[in-house]
Amino acid sequence: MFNELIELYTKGDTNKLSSKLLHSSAWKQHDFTAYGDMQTEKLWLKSLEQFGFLTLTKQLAVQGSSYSSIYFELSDNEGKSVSVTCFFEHNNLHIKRLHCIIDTLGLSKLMDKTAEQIVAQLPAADPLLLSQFDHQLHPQSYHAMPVDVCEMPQGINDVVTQWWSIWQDKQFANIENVYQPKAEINIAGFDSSEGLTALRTFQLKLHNRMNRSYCQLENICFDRQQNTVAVQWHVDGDYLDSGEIKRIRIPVLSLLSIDNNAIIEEQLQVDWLAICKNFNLTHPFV
Amino acid sequence: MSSTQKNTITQVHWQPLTKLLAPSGKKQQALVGFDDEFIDIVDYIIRITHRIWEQKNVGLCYDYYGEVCPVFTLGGYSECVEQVVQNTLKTIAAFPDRSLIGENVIWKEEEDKTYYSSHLITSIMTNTGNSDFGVATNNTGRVTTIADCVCFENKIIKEWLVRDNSFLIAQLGIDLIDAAINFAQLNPNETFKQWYLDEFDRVRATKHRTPLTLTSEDWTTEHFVKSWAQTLFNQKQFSTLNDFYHVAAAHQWPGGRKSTGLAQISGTLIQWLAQCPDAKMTIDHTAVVGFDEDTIDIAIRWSVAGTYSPHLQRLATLKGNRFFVLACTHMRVKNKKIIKEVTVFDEISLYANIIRESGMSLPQLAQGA
Repeated sequence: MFNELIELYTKGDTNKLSSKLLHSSAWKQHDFTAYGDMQTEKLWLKSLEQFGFLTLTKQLAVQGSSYSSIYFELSDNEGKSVSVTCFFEHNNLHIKRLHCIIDTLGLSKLMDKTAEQIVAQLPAADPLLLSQFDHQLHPQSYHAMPVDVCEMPQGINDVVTQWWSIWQDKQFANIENVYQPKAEINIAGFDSSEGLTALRTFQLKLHNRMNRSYCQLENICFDRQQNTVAVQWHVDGDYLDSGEIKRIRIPVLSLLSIDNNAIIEEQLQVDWLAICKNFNLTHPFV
Repeated sequence: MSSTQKNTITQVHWQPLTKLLAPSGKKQQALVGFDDEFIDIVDYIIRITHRIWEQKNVGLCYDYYGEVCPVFTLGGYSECVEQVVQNTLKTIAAFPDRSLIGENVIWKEEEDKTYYSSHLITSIMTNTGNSDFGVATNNTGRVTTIADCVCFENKIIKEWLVRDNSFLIAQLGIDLIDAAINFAQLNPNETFKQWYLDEFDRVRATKHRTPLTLTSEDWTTEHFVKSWAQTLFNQKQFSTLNDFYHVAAAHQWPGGRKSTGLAQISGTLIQWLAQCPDAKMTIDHTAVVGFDEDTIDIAIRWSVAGTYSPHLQRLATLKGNRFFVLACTHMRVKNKKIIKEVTVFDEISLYANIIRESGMSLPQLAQGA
């Protein structure tokens, strides 16, 4: 199904991908969930208008048994690019639910548009009603760990568990343990591959921009052939925006490539402008 | 019923619509008195829904609904097929492109030879006509509905219908309390008023303090569901969430409440229950079918009754009024833990009933509220 997804954007092959969807398939993009041909097709056509028919320049795939994920970059002749990550539930014949995250900050550079101009083009997000909850990791409380959502070999599970601890426990010391020193790390919206220091700085800024930030695992898929892992997760928190506190949720897809019990590549995908639109936040986010 | 169950009846989850509309399998259930074309109760529900709603053959209601067919919703009560036809036509007129995407049908063969079906539906619809919500907005919205039906000899003879109207109007750009004030001005019939009072009293009579612990040894679906209601909703023991939900369970409640995992689910339930702190819950019907080797799907119809304690300033004057909810839940349970839950009820009607009963006249946003 990876080819069908890529060819939607590189060739505009809507028929091939449509044949992989069910009447009840859901396609979430820019934090808006589309159901049925009418809504899904509208999202596709807008994407084709914005970044269709470019050249595939990079991909990282995670082929799982019932969930799979793919990250890919599409570039124009001037070397400007946009990245797309899809995480989806499937039965090898059809896709049931797909979450697509587009790097909209990269898209604004590709299209030579301001962030505000891109925000104006995005669909209205699903109206979420985010609950207040106790975000603390009490000794007797239960919080999802990688082992709870995906069966992986011990060595891979150890790496992913340490990686998750960086986010959930804010255990920054794990960064040096879990990443290879020259790991390629790309954070959506930021200049590519700035390494471990940039990752640490980004995480600190993200958490410090919010009160009561809490990271929740949703799903993980694992590719035994490639030793790649895709993690679907989100951050909830109280965002401090010009003196006002806004309850927000940041959906994230992280694709990890692991070698010799260390992460050698991470693609961290966030649709920053969709979040700005959804929660009426000022840009830049961090 | 155990935590696993074999199921050879039509399953909607992975089926393309073309196959659902032209089933090629053998007849799976006796379906006495049903048209020969239907191979099982799921097939019956999926195809008649498609014909009536998506193909807009509204008149087929005469074929597939009983002449007398009580339909219970939190917003009103209707009793005959003529009202079903009229309500269907009105909805299609206000939302002409409404699609009904069947997500799941959970069913049960009852002892009285009827079939009970619980149909989870996602609809996409554009509000191009005036409706009970107000004037047309021309916006498109998504809404989740659960229709619980009693089916007998090719006809639906009783129905409980719940729709997540508060999520729909949030997309249409309509304020929840404004919509509730509009709904409160509708005058439901006497049967509804009596049903509402009777149901409230019935649910309030629940003995909510009796412990109902859940152990792995005595796990049955019935016990699991009753314990879920008693422990979480009646006794408010939120530290036991781990007994019922997987640590990364996906939880969808009305009005756009989407949670993942125990902390968020706990927050959703606590905040919702806080507006009715003496809430009592009854489980009114349970159906269960197998989904795959180690997963089952459970459909629950339930009610909650108590005293309203407003969390919204605009409704502060309604403190102490009756609070009553008719709701349906679909849950997917794997290895005895809920991995996915969709709960549906109509929040607009919930608040509309409170406003109407109070006899108060509340201002809308446009009137300076």
